[in-house]
Amino acid sequence: SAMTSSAVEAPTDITAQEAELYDRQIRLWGLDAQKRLRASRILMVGAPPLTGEIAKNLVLAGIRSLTLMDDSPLSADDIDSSFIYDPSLATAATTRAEAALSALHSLNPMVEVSAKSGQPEQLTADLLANEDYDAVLAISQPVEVLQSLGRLCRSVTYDGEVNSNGAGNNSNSDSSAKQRRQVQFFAADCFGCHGYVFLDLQRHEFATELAEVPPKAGQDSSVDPKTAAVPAAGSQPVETHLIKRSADYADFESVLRTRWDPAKLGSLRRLSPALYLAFLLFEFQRANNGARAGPNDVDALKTLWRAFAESQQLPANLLDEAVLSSGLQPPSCPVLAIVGGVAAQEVIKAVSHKDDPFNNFFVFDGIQSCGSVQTLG
Amino acid sequence: SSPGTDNRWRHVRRLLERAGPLGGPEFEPDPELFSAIRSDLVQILVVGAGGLGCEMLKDLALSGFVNLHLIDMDTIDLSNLNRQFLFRPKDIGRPKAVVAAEFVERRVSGCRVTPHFGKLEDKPLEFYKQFMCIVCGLDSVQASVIPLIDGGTQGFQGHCRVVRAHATPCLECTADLYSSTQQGFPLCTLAHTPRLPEHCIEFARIMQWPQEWPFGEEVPVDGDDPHHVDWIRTEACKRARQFGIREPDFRLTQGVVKHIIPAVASTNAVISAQCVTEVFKAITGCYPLLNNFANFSDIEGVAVNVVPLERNPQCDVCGQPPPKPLTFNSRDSLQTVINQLKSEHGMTRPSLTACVEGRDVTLYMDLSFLRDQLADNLDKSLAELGLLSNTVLNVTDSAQSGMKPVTFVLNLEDGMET
Repeated sequence: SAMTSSAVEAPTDITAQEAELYDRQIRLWGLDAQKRLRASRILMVGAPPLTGEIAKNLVLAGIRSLTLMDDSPLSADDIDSSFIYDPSLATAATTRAEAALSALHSLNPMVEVSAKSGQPEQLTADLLANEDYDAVLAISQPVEVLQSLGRLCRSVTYDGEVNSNGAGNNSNSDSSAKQRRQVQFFAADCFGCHGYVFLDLQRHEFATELAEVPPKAGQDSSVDPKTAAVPAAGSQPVETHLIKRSADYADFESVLRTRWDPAKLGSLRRLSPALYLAFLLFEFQRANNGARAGPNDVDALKTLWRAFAESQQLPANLLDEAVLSSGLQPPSCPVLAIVGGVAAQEVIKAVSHKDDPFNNFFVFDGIQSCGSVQTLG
Repeated sequence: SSPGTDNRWRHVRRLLERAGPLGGPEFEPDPELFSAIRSDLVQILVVGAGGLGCEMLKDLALSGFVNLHLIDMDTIDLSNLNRQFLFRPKDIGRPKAVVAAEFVERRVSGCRVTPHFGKLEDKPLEFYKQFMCIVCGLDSVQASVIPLIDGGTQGFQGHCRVVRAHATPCLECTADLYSSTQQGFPLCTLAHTPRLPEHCIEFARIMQWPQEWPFGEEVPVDGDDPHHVDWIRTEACKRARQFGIREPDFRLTQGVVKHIIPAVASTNAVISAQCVTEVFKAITGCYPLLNNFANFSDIEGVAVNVVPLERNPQCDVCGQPPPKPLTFNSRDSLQTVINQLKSEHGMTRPSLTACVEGRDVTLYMDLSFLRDQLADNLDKSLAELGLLSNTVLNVTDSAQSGMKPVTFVLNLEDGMET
């Protein structure tokens, strides 16, 4: 299993310089997690400004490598919306992925950053395995791309020492230590003042810290793992020990097929309308060949929503026009930072197999300034 | 100058130039509002240029604000670079405020960032009065009439809160929410009944060091000196063995001695962005502010929620004597009220807010920036403005710097009560 000590170990210890650079975060998630992070290779499909925020957080945290895939040309809007693109490339014929490399490299020269040309449809299971990715992040991608990438990640399993190109034992000492390992799939996007983050970690095993409650006089010192929790940071420290847990995740297809139960109207009304909007926007993409909805599509979206609500016997007022239009502008900088921060931290938890990633669909509602997680699918 | 400059802020402009059902109660869309927020009248102070400060500065600059000040007393350290992304290894040793300002000015054309390398406390009160809003990652600024946005993070947790005098709790009201970052263990625990490695470390630092002076008489503990930390660790380990406690390693020892708080980029990104969103709303009025304390945690899954904290009526800092009554007729105009405030209560340029149906409403503001927008209110009667008996009015005087707001309660001879 991924949790045996021989699996996914970084080949070497971290250097003194890394220990100092990463000191503040090692205190948070521990040295083992930092080593796993340091061995992780991540592929990001799509390099819009949201990718800049996620990539900044991942690169600063010290992953092994980050590969960006986005052949769309760099635009003035991109440069104005994010620090990650090199402004001196404004008039060069360059792609968004390439324009982000120098800033990412300077944030942390120890991380290998590169751009990969091509379209998501060209990715194959062999390629993902050969290039040794631990995670694939689909950023601001149309729903069909999410479906196919989600399926693709689930079709890849790293198994022992055999390369799928028949190369036999790997001379690369990293790969030879890898056993059954899966490619983790993430999807994220911002729409207007809202955003979502989706995780499919298949069967995910991880370590988490359990507090040791100091025994009171005369009482049994055993602790019920379901109720003990780690105390808030900053309060009096307690001894903790690591325990291993696992969680099962649904694939993107089944999440897309989510049907909300009209009999539970009370709880449906408590969900953020931004969640319904996210799904409505997926529907729009399906009906419009992957095109992104914009401010001019309000009427089409209203019609689509009415049909959607009717087909599920839901009241149409779960999503009103005001909220709908709030999701159609290009996202503002703070929304990108919030969704990017949440997404990056879940990726860090997932690839380091430390702490609980959420399961499985996070929505940030920029009107209520609130985030919530639903388990869908 | 930046490509696409004419169009570059159109997304921000859209928020300010269009009405909509989500706008704030007094928001009037105005094509001039965008240039107004970039005029010299709008100065914003960012307190702290560390993990939160770097993120906030980035978000403010990319949201269209151009007059930013930044204050921080620290210089850059290698351990900052895992999250303070405006700094590079070559900047180590330089003041954070200076380097952050340079980076943002270079990257966002038109944005002016004035760095202040020094302590908050060393600035005179006049310094703070030039700002329309203050946003900070520290909790040491006193409440004022100026809206204060405060953010804080520790590891995977964080908060963003809005503080407005007399409307929300001040920082002192809710001081007990902030758990102490100084790990103050009771001395008896350290001396007689230690249970944790931290107890052993603190015992060595607080009690053994001043008895043995291992590096010379009266030479204090220097958390950055690895020899000092090693000495403390050795003593702590001896004590730990004695009491059957896990022996601390160097990292834990140094962390306790230096009171290090764990930190990571993503939490800072989220909290800073929430704070800057509130700054944008406070300055432009385009949407009601967060009411009033948002919690964030991604230890287990992700949790974000907002709670409306209440003021502590006994608070030393923001508590006030009972409000003075103002007696009028409901048909009297707001101008009449203002005239009385001038003639009988010693005010020169009063500005008033009131709590109407649970929300704060600005009745009139005697500041050049807003005077014209609210001029219509002056001729309206108190009844038209929705003011009833027992409505509380908060009044400040723009001409009296440093004056605390005065609370009045409205007494309408003919009017209905709230």
